[in-house]
Amino acid sequence: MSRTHVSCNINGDDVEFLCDAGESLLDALRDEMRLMGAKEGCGTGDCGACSILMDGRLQCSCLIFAPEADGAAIVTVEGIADGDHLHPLQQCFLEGAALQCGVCTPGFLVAAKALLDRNPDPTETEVRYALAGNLCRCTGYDKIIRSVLAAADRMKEEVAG
Amino acid sequence: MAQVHFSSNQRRLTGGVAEIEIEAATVRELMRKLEEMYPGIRAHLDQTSATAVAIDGDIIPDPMYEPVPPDAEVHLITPLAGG
Amino acid sequence: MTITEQRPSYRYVGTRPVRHDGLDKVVGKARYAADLVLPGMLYGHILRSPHAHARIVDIDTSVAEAMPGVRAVITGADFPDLPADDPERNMTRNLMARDKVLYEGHAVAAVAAATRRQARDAAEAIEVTYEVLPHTLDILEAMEPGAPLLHDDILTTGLDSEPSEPSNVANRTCYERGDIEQGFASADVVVEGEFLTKPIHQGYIEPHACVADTGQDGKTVIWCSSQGHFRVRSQTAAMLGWDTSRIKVIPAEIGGGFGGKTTIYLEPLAVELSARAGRPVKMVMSRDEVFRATGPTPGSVIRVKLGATGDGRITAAKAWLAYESGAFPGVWAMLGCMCVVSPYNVENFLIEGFEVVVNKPVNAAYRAPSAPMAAFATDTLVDEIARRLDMDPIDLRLLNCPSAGDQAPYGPKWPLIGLRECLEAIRDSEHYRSAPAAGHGRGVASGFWFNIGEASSATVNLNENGTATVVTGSPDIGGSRASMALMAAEELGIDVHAIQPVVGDTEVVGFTDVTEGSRATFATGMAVVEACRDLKGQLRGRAARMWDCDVEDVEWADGRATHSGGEHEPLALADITAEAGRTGGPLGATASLNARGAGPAFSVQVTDVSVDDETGRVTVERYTTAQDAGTAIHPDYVEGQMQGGVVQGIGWALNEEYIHDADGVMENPGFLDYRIPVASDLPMIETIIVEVPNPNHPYGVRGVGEVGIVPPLPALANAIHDATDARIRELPMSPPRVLAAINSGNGA
Repeated sequence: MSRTHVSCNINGDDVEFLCDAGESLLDALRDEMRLMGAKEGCGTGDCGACSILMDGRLQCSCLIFAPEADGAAIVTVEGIADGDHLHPLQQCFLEGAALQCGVCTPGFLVAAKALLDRNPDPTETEVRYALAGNLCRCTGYDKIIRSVLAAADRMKEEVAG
Repeated sequence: MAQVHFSSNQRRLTGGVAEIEIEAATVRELMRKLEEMYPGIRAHLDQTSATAVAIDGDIIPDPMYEPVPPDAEVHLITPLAGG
Repeated sequence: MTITEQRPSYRYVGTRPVRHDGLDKVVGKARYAADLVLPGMLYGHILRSPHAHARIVDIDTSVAEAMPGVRAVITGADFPDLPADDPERNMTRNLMARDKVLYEGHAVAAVAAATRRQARDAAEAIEVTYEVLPHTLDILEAMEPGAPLLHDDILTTGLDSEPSEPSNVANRTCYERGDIEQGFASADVVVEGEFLTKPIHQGYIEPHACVADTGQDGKTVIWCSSQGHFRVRSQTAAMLGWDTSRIKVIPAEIGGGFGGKTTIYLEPLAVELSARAGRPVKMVMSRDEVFRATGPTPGSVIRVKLGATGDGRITAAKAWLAYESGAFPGVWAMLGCMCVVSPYNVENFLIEGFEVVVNKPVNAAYRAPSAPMAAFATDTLVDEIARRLDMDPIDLRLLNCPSAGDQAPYGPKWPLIGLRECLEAIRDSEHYRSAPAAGHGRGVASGFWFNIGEASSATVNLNENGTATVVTGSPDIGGSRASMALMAAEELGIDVHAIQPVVGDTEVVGFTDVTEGSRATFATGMAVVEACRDLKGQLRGRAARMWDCDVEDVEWADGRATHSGGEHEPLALADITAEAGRTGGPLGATASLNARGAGPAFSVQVTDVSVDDETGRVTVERYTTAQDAGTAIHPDYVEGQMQGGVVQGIGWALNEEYIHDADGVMENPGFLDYRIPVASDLPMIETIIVEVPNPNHPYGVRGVGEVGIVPPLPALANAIHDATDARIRELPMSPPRVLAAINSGNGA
C-alpha cells in the first residue's frame, strides 16, 4: 500500500512524514513523529486526552486523518512551553496539584490554552464548559479548574506588568 | 487465654458455640487446637476463604506464625481486598 | 481547611511542595506503557467472544497465520491448564478462555503482527466455531434453581447444609449478633427497602497497555501499566507456568487504576506472543475492550431493615445482600456484609450475603470495593429514620457513632477511629450551618472503609552531594512519590526536593504488594521511615569517625550531626556524605516490612442538589466532604483523593451503568454512552481534612484513597428526596428514573 506524504508545521518545526491514508493524526504524531504527549484514551473523540491545536483550533487528533494535517500548523503539549520556560498553565497545574495520574493532563493543558488564547478572563463556568470535552477520572476537576483560573490571572498580570 | 470468636458461618462447625478460650502462643498452635476440638474447621476456614485473623482488632492476612498475646481477642475472617 | 489535633510540628510533613514527577507530566514527557517503542516491536491484538455464553467447539487459526505481517497466533490451548484448586486458575481462564466463553468480550485468541492493522485483520480472520449456550445476566435470576449455569463445579459454601447440586451462588456469608427479634420489638420506628445498583467501571483514562520482550534465554521483560508490578510478575508466571525469576516487570507511569489495575489482562499473552515471534510485542486495549473485558465493580441487590427507638438509637439491623461478581466468583458480597452497618453501633443484627456469578465481565476491585452499594442502602434508611423522628441526620449519626473499643459488626473491636470527628466537622461546617438555597435539597451520608497494610520495601541511598534517592515498590497512582519524599525529608532533615523518589522494578527493590487498599503512603511510607532511621544511625557513626569520638556523643537532629560536648562544629548531611568514601563507604539502607495497624477510614459528606422537574436532571449545587486522614502528609494530594473519590461517587449515583442487551452484549462500551462526570457537571468539591492520627504509623497516616467514594450514593439519594420527596432506591439516578419517581409521587 502506498503511503501519503504530509508536510506540516508541528510545534514550530517544519516536518514531513509518510502515513497511511486511513491513519489518524494521533497515530501519526505518536508513531511517525514519536511525539508521545497526546494520549489515546478512547479513540472516538469522547475523552480529549489527544487534544491538539490545528491552525489554532482545538481538535481531537484521534478524529482527524493524518493527511488532513498537510499544510497545517499543529501545537501539541510538547509545544506549549517556551523553551525551558513553562507556560503559566503548566506552572499553575504543578503548583495547584491539578494532576494525579497525569494521563489526561496533556489534553487539559492544550484545551485550556485554546480557551485562554481566545478568552483571557474566563469565569469558572466558562472554564468548566470549555473543558467539558476533557475527561479526568482522578481529580474531580476542582484543582484543574482552580489552576486554569490562576493561570489566567497570572497571564493578565504578566500583560499588565 | 485467648478469646476466639466464631462467625455465624463458623458456628455450624462448633455446634453453635460462639466464643471459646484457648491457650495458644501462636496462630498455628491455636489452629491446631481448634482442629482437635472441631474436626473439619480448618478445611471450612480455607473453603470459606477465612484465612486471616484479627488479633485485638489488627487484621493479619497470612497469620500462621503470628504470636497470640495472652487475653487476645481473636476473630477468624477473610483477608481484605482493596482498590 | 484543616482540623489539626495536637501533634508534633513538622518541617516537611503537611506541606504542599510541587510533586517530583510533575514536570514530566505537564510537558508530555512522562512515559506510560503505550508510549514505549522498541526496535523490531510487533503489535498484539485479541480476538474476543461475541457471545455472552458459548462452548468453543473449534478454533481455526490457519488463515490468520498465513496473513501478511503475522508472526504469532495463540489460543487458550497454548497455556497450561491449572488444576482446579489453584488460586490463579480463574484469572488464567479470564485472560484466555478455555472450553467456554463466559461473557461477551472474553478473550479467545491473540495475534502478533508487524502493524496494528495487520494484527487486527488477522485476529478477525481466526475462525471460531461456537455452540451458543443460554446465559444469565440478572443476579436474582441467576440465583434461581434452573438458571443457566456458568460453572458446573460451584457448590455454594457457607450454607447450613452442603448443597448437592452446583449453582451460580459461590458462597453465603453471615454475620450475626444479639437478638434481632428483640431488637426490632424494642424499636419505635422500623424502615426497610430494596436497593439496586448496576455494574460500573473504574473508568481510568489510560487503557491497559504493556510491552513484553522475551529473549532467547527464556527470560522476559515487561513494561506495563499496573498498580502492582510484583503481582504482574506472579500472575504472569502462574499463567505461563514459569518460574518468577524469568520475569522482570518494569512499572511504567500509570494512567489511573482505582482498583482496576490490581490484576492483569494482557501481560502473559504479550510474553507468549513475544516468545513465539522472537520480537518485542506491544498490546494496548481500545476503550471498547476496557469496558467489555476488564473489571467493573459488581451490580447488587441489597435489602436492609433498620429499627430505632423514639430517641434515635438504632436497635436492630437486618441485611440481605447479593453481589454479582461477573463470570468468576470474588469476595464482593463478603466485603459488603462487613461494611453494611459499620458506621453504626448496632447491638442486634443479622447480615447475610451471596456471591453470584453472571455472564458479564469478571469484576475487579474499585475504590473501597463493595462498600458504596451497602452504604447506599443503609444510609438512605438512616435518613428515613431521621425524618420520621424529626431529628437532625448528623445528630442521629452521632448518637449511634462507634468509637475505639466498640465491637465492629465484622468482629473485632474498633481501634482509634475518627468517625465522630468527621460528623462534627460536617455539623460545624459553613456549608451545613447555612440553609440550602430555595428549591435545593440537602443530603448527608457517612462511609467506612477498612484500609489495609501488607508488605512493602524501600531502599534509601544517600548520594555524595547530600541528596537522597528513595526507591520503593509502590506504583504511584495519586501522588505517593511526593508523600514518600516528604516523610524522608522529615526524617533526614534535608529539603524535599533534595530527595528523588523512584518506583523501582521487580529486580531493584524488595517485594512490595499492590498499591491498593489505600496502603501506599501508610505501609510503604512506614518502610521509607524505617530505612531513614537506619540511615540516621549510620550518619551518627560516620560523624563519630570524622570527629574521632564515641558515637554516643553524636546527636542527629534537623538534618545535621551535633556533638553533645559542643567540641565540634555541627556536620550537615552533605558534609558527611562527601566524606563517606573515607569513613566506611556509601550510605544506604533498606527496610522491608509487613505493615500492621492500618487505621480504618471514615468520611462524612453533605451535598445540596437541584432537580429539574421537567427533565429529571439532578444538578449538584454544592458538595463538602470531611475525611479522617490520620495525618495528611501532602494535603494537596489528600484533598485530591477526597475530591476524586467524591466525583466518582457522583458519577455512580447519577449517570454510570453497564447496559446489556438481551443477548448479553454491552450496549454502551464508550465514554459517549457510558457517561462519567465532566467539569461542567460539577461544583467545586469542598474538603475538610480531619486528622485523628493513627497510632500505628510513625506520622499517624491513615489511607485516604478509597473511602471518599462511599458516601456520595446515599448523600445524593437523600438530597434528591429532600428536593423532590421522591425516594429513589435504584442507581443510577439518571434523568428518566428521577422524572419517573417524581411523577409517581413515591415520597417516603
